[in-house]
Amino acid sequence: MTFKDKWRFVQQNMKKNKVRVFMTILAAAMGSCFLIVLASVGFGLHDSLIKDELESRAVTKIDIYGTDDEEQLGFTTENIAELKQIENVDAVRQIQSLGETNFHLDGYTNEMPSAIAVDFENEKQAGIELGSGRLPEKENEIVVSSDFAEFLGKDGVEDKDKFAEDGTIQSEYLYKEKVLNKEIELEASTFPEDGSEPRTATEKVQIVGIEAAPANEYIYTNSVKTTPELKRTLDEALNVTDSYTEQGDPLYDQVEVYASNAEAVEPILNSLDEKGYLAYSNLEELKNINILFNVAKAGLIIVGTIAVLIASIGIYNTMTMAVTERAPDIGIMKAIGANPKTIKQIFLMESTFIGLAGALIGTAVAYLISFLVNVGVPLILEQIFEEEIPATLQLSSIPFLLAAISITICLIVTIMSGSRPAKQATNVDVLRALRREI
Amino acid sequence: MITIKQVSHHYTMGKKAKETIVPVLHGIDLHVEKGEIVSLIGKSGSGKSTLLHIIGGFIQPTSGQVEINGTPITGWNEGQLADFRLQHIGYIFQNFQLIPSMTAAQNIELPLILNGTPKQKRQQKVENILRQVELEAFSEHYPSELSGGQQQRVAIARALILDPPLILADEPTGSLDSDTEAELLTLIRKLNKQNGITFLIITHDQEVAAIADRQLEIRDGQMKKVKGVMPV
Ligand SMILES: Nc1ncnc2c1ncn2[C@@H]1O[C@H](COP(=O)(O)OP(=O)(O)O)[C@@H](O)[C@H]1O
Ligand SMILES: [Mg+2]
Repeated sequence: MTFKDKWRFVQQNMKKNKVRVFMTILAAAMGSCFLIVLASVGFGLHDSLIKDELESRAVTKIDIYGTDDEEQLGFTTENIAELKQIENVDAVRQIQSLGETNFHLDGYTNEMPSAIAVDFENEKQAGIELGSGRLPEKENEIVVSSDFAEFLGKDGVEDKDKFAEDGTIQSEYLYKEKVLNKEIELEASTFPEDGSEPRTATEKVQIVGIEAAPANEYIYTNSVKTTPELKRTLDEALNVTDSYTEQGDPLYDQVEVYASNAEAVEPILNSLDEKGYLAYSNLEELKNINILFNVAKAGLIIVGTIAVLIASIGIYNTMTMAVTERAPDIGIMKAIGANPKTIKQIFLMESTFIGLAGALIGTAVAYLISFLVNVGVPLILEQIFEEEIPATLQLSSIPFLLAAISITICLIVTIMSGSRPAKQATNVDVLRALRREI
Repeated sequence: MITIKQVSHHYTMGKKAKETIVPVLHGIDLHVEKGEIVSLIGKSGSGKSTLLHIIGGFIQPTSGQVEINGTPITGWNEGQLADFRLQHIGYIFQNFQLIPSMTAAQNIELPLILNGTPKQKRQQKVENILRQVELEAFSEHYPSELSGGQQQRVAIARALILDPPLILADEPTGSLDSDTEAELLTLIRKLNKQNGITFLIITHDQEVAAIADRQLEIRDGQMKKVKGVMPV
């Protein structure tokens, strides 16, 4: 019997019981739709929380926070040169902290941003992004983070009035003008360990650039980057010597190594370990979070599979009824000489069709629901909490993999639930069926 | 065409441990030549249908051998028997056994579909056979829209469509009136003469038995010769 003829039989059989077949397909569709929509939340949150980071420079960055040599207080220029030699290292950022600094501008002060001196050539290699302006070229030039101005508060206001509950500065006490190209006073302080009086030094610096806002909208950054020359000027004025070797070479407080890609991170970490550096990469942590999300996704898929299993009871029922109803016809066909295998195949085809139709319809509807959830839920949340939901937040995402997994599960489950009725069909006793005893 | 050696059969009834045995056939020997019409008579419950079912491969005899067209079929599984039946045996039942949801033409086409004949060839063959059984005008009728005689002719057409060398018929005229019965007997005669088809027909009707080359009777589970030559 050809495939086409078997399919024709299946169609005729289904036509005889349109409503029942429709309801069964509906149940299968609902099951697979539920499975996909449920798991899509895991995929969506994973995507919006982790994927950006995995693709960003954050994963190729390796922080070096020390060396085996406990005597050494910072990283020397020789260290930097050595790090640059490691294979697949794209860039090395060397960072000197300016210590405690305040920035004064027209009666407004930014208290203690993280102020560092860096080599801007290295920053470029490491992928610094500017929102406006340019990188410093002269000693007394700085770039500030995108939120720098948000931390410029009016002088002489009591803290409890100045700050809102969440720690940000009340808008009435904020600096209103643009900070780009403004000249600002840098006040650096040192608190000597020998207990002598704190000393301060001031320099006029110009804000020549503002960094681009970070991709993650939740993060506030308050930082300043300036040149190593300015650092040296300030240190000399403050009479600070611990940022330099005895020969007068700079010592760096912090070093970041950038791998050319995520795969290179692991070998670089190994060779750093060999060379005696203490290093940390958040790739490991992201990997762990990744594993966590994947476990959660698998869990959601399993819960969703239960819905498909429930739907499969419907398919089992439908097929068993179909076999019982058609037992006389099956008997006649077998009497003529239909091979039991053929009969089994016809019934398997029918249940597979129901499962496939259900899975495809369910998948299509799931895509629609996922779209509506992504558009609708943020709107609702914004209404309720009166807060803007970041556009990068995706509640539900259905990658091709999820659709494929769901369709596969649905097909396996339906074929399994259809296999017993199909077996029953082959076991129909010809003579009993002809006597209408079944 | 058919050779049966020492076939015995009994049915087992009831639950395990409390089963009762119903003996039906005892050491039946039978030989039917190619092109013969053989009729089988016997009292109701004498085991005629049981024997035909054994020949048709619907049940396995408790003991003995069955050979059809030179092929021993005892001990085969259901699938093998089905394939063999499709190619070699046409079976006609007392109550026609047509599929009610299919038209006359579709019922007749069924064996062709089962053996994978291409669609065009199927149509042609169905048309030919419908002409032979004089049912051209009723091809699109459903069984419920046909008389008993017409239904039985559809059943015969279905049994003939794959040109089997042997047709087994279990009381084919049992549900027909005498006029229709006469028509059917003429048709059987014609098929036997023109196509050389072998017939083994169960009946308790003298008219039917009369067209047979040989008449056999089952009595007390054994084969008795009534008329014609007893097989070797
Ligand atoms: N499936 C069965 N189970 C048990 N006994 C059966 C079965 N089929 C037939 N019989 C018994 O076997 C005997 C022969 O039946 P059957 O071959 O149908 O006789 P016939 O066709 O000559 O009237 C009868 O006594 C009948 O009751
Ligand atoms: Mg009988």
